[in-house]
Amino acid sequence: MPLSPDDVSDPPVRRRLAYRIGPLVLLCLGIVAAVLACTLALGEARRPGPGLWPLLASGLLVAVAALLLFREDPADYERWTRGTARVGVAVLSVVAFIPLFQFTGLLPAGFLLLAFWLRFFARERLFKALILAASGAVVLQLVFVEVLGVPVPAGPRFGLF
Amino acid sequence: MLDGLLTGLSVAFSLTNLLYVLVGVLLGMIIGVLPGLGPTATIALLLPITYALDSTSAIILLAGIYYGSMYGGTITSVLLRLPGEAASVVTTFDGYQLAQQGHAGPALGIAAIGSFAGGILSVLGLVLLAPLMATVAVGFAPPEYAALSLLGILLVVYLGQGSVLKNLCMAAVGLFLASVGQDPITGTQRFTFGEVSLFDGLDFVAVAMGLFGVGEILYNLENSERGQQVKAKIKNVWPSRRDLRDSAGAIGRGSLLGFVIGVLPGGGGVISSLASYAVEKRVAKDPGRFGKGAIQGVAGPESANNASSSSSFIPLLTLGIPPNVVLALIYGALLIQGVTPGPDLITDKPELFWGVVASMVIGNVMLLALNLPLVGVFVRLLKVRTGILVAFAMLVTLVGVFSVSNDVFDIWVVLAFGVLGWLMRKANFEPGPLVLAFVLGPLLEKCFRQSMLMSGGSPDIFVSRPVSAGILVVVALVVVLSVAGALRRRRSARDDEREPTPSR
Repeated sequence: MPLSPDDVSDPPVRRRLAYRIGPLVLLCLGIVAAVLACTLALGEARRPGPGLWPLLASGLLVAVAALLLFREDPADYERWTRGTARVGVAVLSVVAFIPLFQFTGLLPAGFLLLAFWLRFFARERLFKALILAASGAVVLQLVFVEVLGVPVPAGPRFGLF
Repeated sequence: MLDGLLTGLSVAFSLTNLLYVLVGVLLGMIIGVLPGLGPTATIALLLPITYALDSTSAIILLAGIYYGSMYGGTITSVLLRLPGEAASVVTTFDGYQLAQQGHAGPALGIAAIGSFAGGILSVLGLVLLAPLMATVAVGFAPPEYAALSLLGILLVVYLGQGSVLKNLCMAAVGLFLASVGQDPITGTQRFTFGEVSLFDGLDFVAVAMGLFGVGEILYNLENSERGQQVKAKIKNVWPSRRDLRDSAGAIGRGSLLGFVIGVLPGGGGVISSLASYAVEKRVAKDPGRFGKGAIQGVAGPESANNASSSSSFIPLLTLGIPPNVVLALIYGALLIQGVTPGPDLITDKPELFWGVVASMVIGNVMLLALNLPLVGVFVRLLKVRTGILVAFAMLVTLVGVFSVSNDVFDIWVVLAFGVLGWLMRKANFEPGPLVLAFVLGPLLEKCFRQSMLMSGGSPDIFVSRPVSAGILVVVALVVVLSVAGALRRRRSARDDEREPTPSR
């Protein structure tokens, strides 16, 4: 949700600082990148070394991020909403999916991820979510593993494939 | 050229490639209709699938999705004032008004005919211009390529959506991220921290799928709303003779404008449709009708955005420079296939170049044939809930990115860039300049360093060669004009603030 003009006209100090976080992170990233680039050989104009190009890129990043720090427009930012919590949960579910996929394979991990997303984010009824998740996981297993031959981690296959 | 065309037709008419054109345009239309996942996100999500295809079929499929989505985006713009992809935003201005007045059918019909005309005229232009451009580009050396890559990145920064400063910031991040991995000249490892998966650099597919695909999925998840119901009734999609007569000029002008803008770096569907709308309003006898249901306001922009989607292949296939983000993804797909696009592509891989060109003609015919009779079917797709769509899209993305290198590390990369893409959207940072700089970064760095080696360390090499000097003059002009424009805008805003507000 974009901020309303009332929000923007006189934002409290804390919120004004919050708008600077983006450029600040970029500025820090640029400084760290420049320092790291300097640890590589910079070479000379006649024979540029591996560190010269990253140094130029990070120098540009530092310069522009520093400018943005003073020119940032609060109206550019969307507010955190209740939906933001959904995003947090979604990211955590993917974080859980990755090791599960690595150790149990596509079928169980894919089924669990789909069932969770369909039940809690799409708000499907439990039975429909489970049926859709099972069909989805089986179809993806067929497409990626059987048709495209992708060597996904094997895991238990329950005698299906 | 005739031989090439015949080769292309034989490639495009093979049963497999016909199937890929059909799948591409249908998929493009479907995602164009569904608000949420745009063509960029979908192409990013489908990049791993193209691994299993040969290079020609892969590009035929992706190109079909690109121009198919331009057709599909119109349907929801006209019926719901809900653009399925960014280039169709302009169509909502008059298209929705026409639908409210009971003319949804003719508006959709004219849009389809305009898109078809724009697409075909643009392919004709591509056939004539591309070989010529490739011949000129054969003489290009590293200084010219360095200047061209710089121009490509800068134009996306200045002409793209959003703030120029933020775009520049993203381009700098993209250039830096592109330097992760092995140094292209000395072979030194840069910023890999001993992680073997980073030795070849960050995987382009994982970065693009994360920023566009997962970022879009997370954003939709945050803002998921119930699907809207289509209220306007669609009857008689065939436009009347009067509609056709009124739109003919707009279609012609839109096609030409779209073709020219598509070729330019930084151009693309959004800019061409906006420019066409502005032109139509200017040449109209009664500009007051625009925004209230002028058929020219649909015909021009729709022709322009489709024409630009075909002509944007010219710089990619002849110079190896992607002019916009979607083409950057297609460039990535070509690199994955081991094909480096450039001036030699037409002679070295004629079946790819001419096959893609011929497939565009077939694809546009298919779209015209499918679009009008199937409008009702496509509208029904809107009933698919965003929650279900994003759940499946997420799993396909995760498994898809794994399939590229069979490396779980890439799933972490896609997730990290997905979160970054979502945060960027919330803070209004465009991912486009980042991805384009990430794609063009290695070329720019390599050509810059080769140029410096060639000249013995003198930067004069960039200005002493006529072509690179000419391109750098354009670069300088772009920078000067945009800075002058920003200063003028700031001054006028300050003047407005100083003007006393009348007391009530």
